[in-house]
Amino acid sequence: MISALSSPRNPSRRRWLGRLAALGFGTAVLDAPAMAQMAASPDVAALAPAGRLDAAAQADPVAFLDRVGWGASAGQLQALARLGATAYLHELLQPSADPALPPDWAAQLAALPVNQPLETLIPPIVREERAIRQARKDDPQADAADAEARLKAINRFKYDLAQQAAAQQVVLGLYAQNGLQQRLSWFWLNHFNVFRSGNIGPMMGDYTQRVIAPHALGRFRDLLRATMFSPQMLLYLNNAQNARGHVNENYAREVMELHTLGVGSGYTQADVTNLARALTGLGVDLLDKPVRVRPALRADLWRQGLVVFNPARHDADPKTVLGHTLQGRGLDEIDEVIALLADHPATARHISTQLAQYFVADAPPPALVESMTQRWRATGGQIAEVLRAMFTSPAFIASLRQPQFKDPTRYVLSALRASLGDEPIRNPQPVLGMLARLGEPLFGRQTPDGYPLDAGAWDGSGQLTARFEVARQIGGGASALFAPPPDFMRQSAPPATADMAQTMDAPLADHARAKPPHRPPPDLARSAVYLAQQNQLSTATLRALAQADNRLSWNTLWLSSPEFMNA
Amino acid sequence: MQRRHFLQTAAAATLSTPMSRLWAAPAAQGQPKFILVFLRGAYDATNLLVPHANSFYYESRPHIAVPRPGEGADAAIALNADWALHPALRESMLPLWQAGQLAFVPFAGTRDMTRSHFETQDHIELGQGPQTRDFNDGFLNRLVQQIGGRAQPMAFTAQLPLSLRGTHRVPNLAIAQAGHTGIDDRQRALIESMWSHSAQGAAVREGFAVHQTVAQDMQASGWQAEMVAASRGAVAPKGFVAEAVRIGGLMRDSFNVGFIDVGGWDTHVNEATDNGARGQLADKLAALGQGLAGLAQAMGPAWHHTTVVVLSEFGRTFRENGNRGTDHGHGTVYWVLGGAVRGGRIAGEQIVQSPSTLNQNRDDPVLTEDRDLLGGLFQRLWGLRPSQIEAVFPGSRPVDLQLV
Repeated sequence: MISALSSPRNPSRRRWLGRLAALGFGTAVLDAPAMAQMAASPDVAALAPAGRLDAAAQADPVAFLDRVGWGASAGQLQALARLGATAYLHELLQPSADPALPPDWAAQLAALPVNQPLETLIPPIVREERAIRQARKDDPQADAADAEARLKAINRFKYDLAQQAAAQQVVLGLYAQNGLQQRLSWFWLNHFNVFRSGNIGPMMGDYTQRVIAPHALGRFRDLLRATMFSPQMLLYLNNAQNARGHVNENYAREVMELHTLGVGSGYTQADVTNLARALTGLGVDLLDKPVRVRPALRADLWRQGLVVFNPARHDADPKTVLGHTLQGRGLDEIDEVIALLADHPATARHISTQLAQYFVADAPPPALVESMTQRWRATGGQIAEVLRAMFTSPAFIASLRQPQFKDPTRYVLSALRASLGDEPIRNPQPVLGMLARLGEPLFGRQTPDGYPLDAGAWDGSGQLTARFEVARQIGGGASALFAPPPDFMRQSAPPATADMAQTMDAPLADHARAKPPHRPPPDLARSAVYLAQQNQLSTATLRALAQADNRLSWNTLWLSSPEFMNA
Repeated sequence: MQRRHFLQTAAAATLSTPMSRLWAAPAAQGQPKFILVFLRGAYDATNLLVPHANSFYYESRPHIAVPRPGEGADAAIALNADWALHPALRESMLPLWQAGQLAFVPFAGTRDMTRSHFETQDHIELGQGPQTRDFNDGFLNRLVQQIGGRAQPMAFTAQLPLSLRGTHRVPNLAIAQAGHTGIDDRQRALIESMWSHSAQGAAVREGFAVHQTVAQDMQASGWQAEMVAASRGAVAPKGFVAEAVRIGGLMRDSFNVGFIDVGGWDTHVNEATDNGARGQLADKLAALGQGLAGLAQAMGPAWHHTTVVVLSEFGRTFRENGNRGTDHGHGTVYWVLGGAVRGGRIAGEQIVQSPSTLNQNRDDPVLTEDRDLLGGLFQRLWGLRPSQIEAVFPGSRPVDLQLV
């Protein structure tokens, strides 16, 4: 079973790098067999009341595009009009390795250090940190200011890496062509939430681009495995510290409660404790140094990147999880656990429910969840197929007329996609600020449950007020988006010396301080998205828009309207 | 007058008069104020309220037990023959305890045994008992309905907490975000008109009004001066401490039911360094204590009729785990503080923890249920009738611990 981990479904890091180079900038990597399997999926027409979906999307194309991606844009409206909803959806459901970004952005992102393989990126940072701390311990008389400055520089670099990963997500959200895969990637990122503190922040590029995105439209079992074998998750939920005789049950509990079965599905405290025992030994080595174990265990030692399975830390005694006896066979046992959790009927239901809540309605019709669950079980958890069952259901078509209140990420990205013209933005940082202001910063959820996504979590009075402010910012043209990229996007290597650290503390260079060129508010009343949406607006909204006394006001009002905030 | 009606009338009346200081009328003398502080992440109550006479505690926590009272600078502070306080609270909370304004209720919590943070938090906030689960019907919202026209609730959070969701619309505002708005009065009126027929129409009007009230209150009350005073002239306090002081000022002037949450208590790893007196948990407790002390001070005379309850979803394992941390447990310790609190005591039913008295030989049992405790408290605070308590906590059996 160990071989499964390096099978074509989980391309090794080296292969991934090769592909990244070949693509210029690669988000997802799905290999040929998986692609073929997707293409061989049942004929769409046979499954879907296609005429009804096409008609519904034609009647309200903005609502449709708001559901199947990050919101309507001029280009998407054209594609939808050309293909019709059914064919367009079929295209969106094909996983794509290439987000087809504007060329400048593709090149810029591919060059960011945060996209380097973790074993190149992380160990030098951690080694340097430890060396500084050790030196300070060894010689307390040494230059403390120097050590402080070096540590500060390292922390700054780590922060910059996390910012790069967040900025990259924004660029992908605004410009990637594979919109549904991007939107799902955010959903899974939230489902398998990790928080950007400590050494996790600098590894977020790897988490979004290698762990999550390639599997976003693939098989759930592979996605679960990718997260379980990710250093980010192992650190965040403490499985890195989970060892025989020193059991830490944090990850074992959350993987059952949040990632797979769902709370209340019948597992017990004993299941949690035994699962934690089964997962002992699966950990992380941030220094990428050889692991020594006694000869008898050497064959069972396994590592990939920074993730290590250390048989000396594993509890090899038999244990029972969910009525299933695990024989204590080391890494094979962990694969057994993945299958047990991923293929459990409760998992199919739990995650189908969450997908339906995110894409259709806060309280999805039980019949919809049932049909998705059945599709899940019939296809072995192929996410694209479960989504196909959802998007082509009568419940989904009906829901286009019962809009959902957008969570902040949906709101900000859709407002920007509707407002931005042909010229790509240069500085994603203001977008990160908007997301933070509205309470949904990227990688900023501290708890493993991820952000809540129901309307009640986001339509409180305080949030609405903040949202109108953001509407005004975007409606005004958000000139800062076209200013030169922030320093963290230019950061290409860790500062090697304290001198460099001091340089980084120096006031920002003139070009970064310069005020962005003023841009007049865009003419959103003539934008493709507004023209496509105007038939859906209420009398109250149209009346308010008619009273706007200038372009900024008009834009602010449209982006503040109930129709724009619900979709 | 119902606030809802007032808001509508005010919105209709004029577009140019700002609805300033909407709730700034001073509260009637002696009207109770209540603040719920939710510690999200299940704080380790066993190291807050240390069973210092129990050797099983010291055996169970070889690395992270707080030293016995009298054992050096890091020692726990004896509160009575059985219980001692974490030393991180010496400066902030011990004076309140000594003034009889702080009580602890150990072995408190819910009957929910999932040990899931999220399930249990929801369970507490909904307060509906074991049978129902309506996510738009929190217990503080039901309380507000029972208090009637006297209630001026506010959630000092970025998101409206479940406990305040319900038929009475409650405003929310993250204090860090309170500032001046770039939306002018004309735009505001037009935005309100667009939303007037939608489900969120009331929230839109409320949002604008509250935002303005809070911004003006903060300016008027000179909270910055109070903040310096609360920290005794030390460097400007950050995070929770600063926010708590600002909240205190707002609660004093404008609100009487408040909600605050403080995250980050999930200490599976490295809960403490050296011993239980230092490290992650100690730092968080110290900041919490300073914040609460600052809040008490900022409330001024209103503190005399204010009651603050600090709670968390559950406690943690009685024994430490393999990583100088603790895992998810069951019973926890609730704090009750305020000017009129009958404190300086450990309230409610108690046991001596041992392998045979622990719940599942793992964690503290729950001897006082959250709904019974809070229902009993509300009964005393507002003189609510049994039928009203039943409306807030259906099927509960209010217990009167005489905390106020």
